Amino acid sequence: MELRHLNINDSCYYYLVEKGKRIYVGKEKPSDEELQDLMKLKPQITDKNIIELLQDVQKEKNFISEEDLIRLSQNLDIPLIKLTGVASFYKSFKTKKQGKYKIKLCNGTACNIKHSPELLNYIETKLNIKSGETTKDGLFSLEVDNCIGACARAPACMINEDIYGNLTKDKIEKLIEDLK
Amino acid sequence: MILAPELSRDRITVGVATCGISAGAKEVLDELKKYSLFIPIMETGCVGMCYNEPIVTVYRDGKKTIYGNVQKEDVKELVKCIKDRKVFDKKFICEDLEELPFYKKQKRIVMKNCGFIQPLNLDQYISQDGFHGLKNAIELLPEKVIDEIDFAGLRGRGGAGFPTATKWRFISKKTGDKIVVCNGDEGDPGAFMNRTLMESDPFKIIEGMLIGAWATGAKEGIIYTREEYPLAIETLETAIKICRENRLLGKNILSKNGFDFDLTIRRGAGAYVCGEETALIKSIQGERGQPMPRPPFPADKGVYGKPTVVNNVGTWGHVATIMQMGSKNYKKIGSKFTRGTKILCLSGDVKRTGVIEVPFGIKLKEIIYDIGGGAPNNKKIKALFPGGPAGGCVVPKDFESSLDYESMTKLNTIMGSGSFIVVDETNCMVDRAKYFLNFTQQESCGKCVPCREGTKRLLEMLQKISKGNGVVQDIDKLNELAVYVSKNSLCGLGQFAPNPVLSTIKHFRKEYEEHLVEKICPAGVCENLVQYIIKVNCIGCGACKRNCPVGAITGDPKERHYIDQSKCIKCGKCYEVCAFDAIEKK
Repeated sequence: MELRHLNINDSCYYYLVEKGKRIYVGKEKPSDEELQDLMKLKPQITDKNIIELLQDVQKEKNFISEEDLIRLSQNLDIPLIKLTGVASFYKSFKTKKQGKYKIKLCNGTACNIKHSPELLNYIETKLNIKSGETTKDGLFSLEVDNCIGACARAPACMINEDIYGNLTKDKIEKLIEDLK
Repeated sequence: MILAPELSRDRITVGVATCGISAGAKEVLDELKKYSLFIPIMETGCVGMCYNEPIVTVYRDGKKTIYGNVQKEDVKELVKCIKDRKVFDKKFICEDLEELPFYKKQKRIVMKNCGFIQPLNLDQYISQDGFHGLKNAIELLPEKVIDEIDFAGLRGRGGAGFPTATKWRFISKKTGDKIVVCNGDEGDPGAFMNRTLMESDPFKIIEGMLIGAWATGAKEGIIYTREEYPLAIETLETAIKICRENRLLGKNILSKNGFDFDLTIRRGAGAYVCGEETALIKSIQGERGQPMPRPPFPADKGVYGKPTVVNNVGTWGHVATIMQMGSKNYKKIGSKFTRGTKILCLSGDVKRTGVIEVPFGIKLKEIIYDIGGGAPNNKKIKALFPGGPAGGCVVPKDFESSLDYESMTKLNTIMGSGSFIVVDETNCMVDRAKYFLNFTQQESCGKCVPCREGTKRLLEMLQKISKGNGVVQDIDKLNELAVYVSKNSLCGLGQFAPNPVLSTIKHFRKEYEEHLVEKICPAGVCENLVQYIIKVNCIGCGACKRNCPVGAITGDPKERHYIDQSKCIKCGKCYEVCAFDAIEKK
């Protein structure tokens, strides 16, 4: 078994090769000890890393382009249809470049009752984009989530990994202005 | 019980779980740390009282003082009060949580540590009976542990309420590699109890899984959770690391020869359907999360074809609690049908929102009015939506009913994950049904036709009704299609998706008819059906007339004005500009 790596956009992805099977390992070079453990993995475990692989690529780049998928497919010997299938099934994989600040406005039941659609309208007008789009300066992208699980502080939103609750138009205005 | 030294000393705690952070608890904590107080400041999880976040608790001389809604600006005054040994009246809530109506009817056994101990402090967890459950378990034979869980009458807390012991028995008989999975893919809108537990008491879940591993003979465990929960993932990762360092995970756990078990975490990637166990298994394997027909059940062929037990985060919490307190004591709690407690998330139009843990058998009205405090602003409560987007609604006349699986089934609804969303009279039921269908239609994985196409057609029909283009026969058509979808879909998502339609038609048929025949939306929600009418108290200032973009308003100065309904485009401008509250929206 041999450890190889693949470079995509200045990032390095390590994988193991054995008898034509390739197993994605991660972005950090595994230590000898970890490598020993990995060697014991059965080939059937290859697939389980697809979601993690795509999550790593996305975390680095903010999105996964079609070219990325093709390169990953060729180099890791995973059928492209499988990669594309997974990437298109899960909502968190984006095919377009995302903004520096990703605003995820919650439209869960509790937020909806507390008028989150009005807030969506407000943000859309303020940033001059529709949900699912990114501002021209690449600073903000906006999307609606079905529930971020902050229902008791509804309406709520996530900006990158931070959650803000009991939102009002004024609060959102301040949040956005502070980030600009 | 011996308290960890920190828990018996003076200290100040700030709840910094997600609810707290969203209300500004991090800033409060940072501000507090700037002052030299000679009392240690600690971060804790969530006590469930989300409506009062951020919460600061001062433990001093064996006494507690709890402050709520503490903002960064209040910290200076608070610190002064603490130094002077005074109570900071402005933000004072209570001395003991038990005195609050929010807590009086609760029975916190699984969540007793939440908001009290530091989530990642193993000593504090152990001092609260932590890992005693595991110790009790490994002194027994695995079959006996399953018998204990069976005796306690534990049923899965994920929604279906399947007896946990039965599930475990299936897999304990198998040989070879087995896997236990913790389902933390909590996608139901309105549900956040799993997250609260993962963030505030992660060791409890790990302990539950260890007991499950001992009972079933599994060597590998997987926790699957949502990527929307970064704090929960981080907390669990650290907790797993701490357990490994303390030999609570790994080989020969608690010096028991041959008891090996280890845990990994998988992050979901934003698909609601992955909460369904077969879809979850697919997702763990790195595939599209589409459900599979059962059989084979996961107990036969689960993750990588190995026998697998999938239990909800809450169930694992209950497992640990049962083994800690003993099944006899656990059995005393609850109703005669369903034993134990259920963690619920109360949100929507109630005064007090948050995570609550109540014994089974409590009446729905006690949850809504006594714990939740009823609707704010003296509004009337119109309905309760339990069990997420698939639960359907319960109307106030049924609030006498008690909380257990049997009674909920009688009301044609489900316990589900335990999200309780209350809506008041300002909500339109057609609009609510439309909202839920919009959700399930988006989240349908697309594998089976009844769900993929059926939910779409149901949604289109509801959209038509809310726009005022429907006819009376639509109600029967909706009913027919809803029944068809629920009978023919592959997994729970499709089977329960039509519930909101069926139950709103059952309880609010009149409202549907008003939309269809009279073309009005009684709650004034459906935009196209709203009518703006100028009332007699109009003084004729002309503001509405000047602002109407289509010139639909007529009237002489200082005389009552009128809106020509045939011209009106329902933009609501007149309603906004009227300074005399003379325009009615209905």
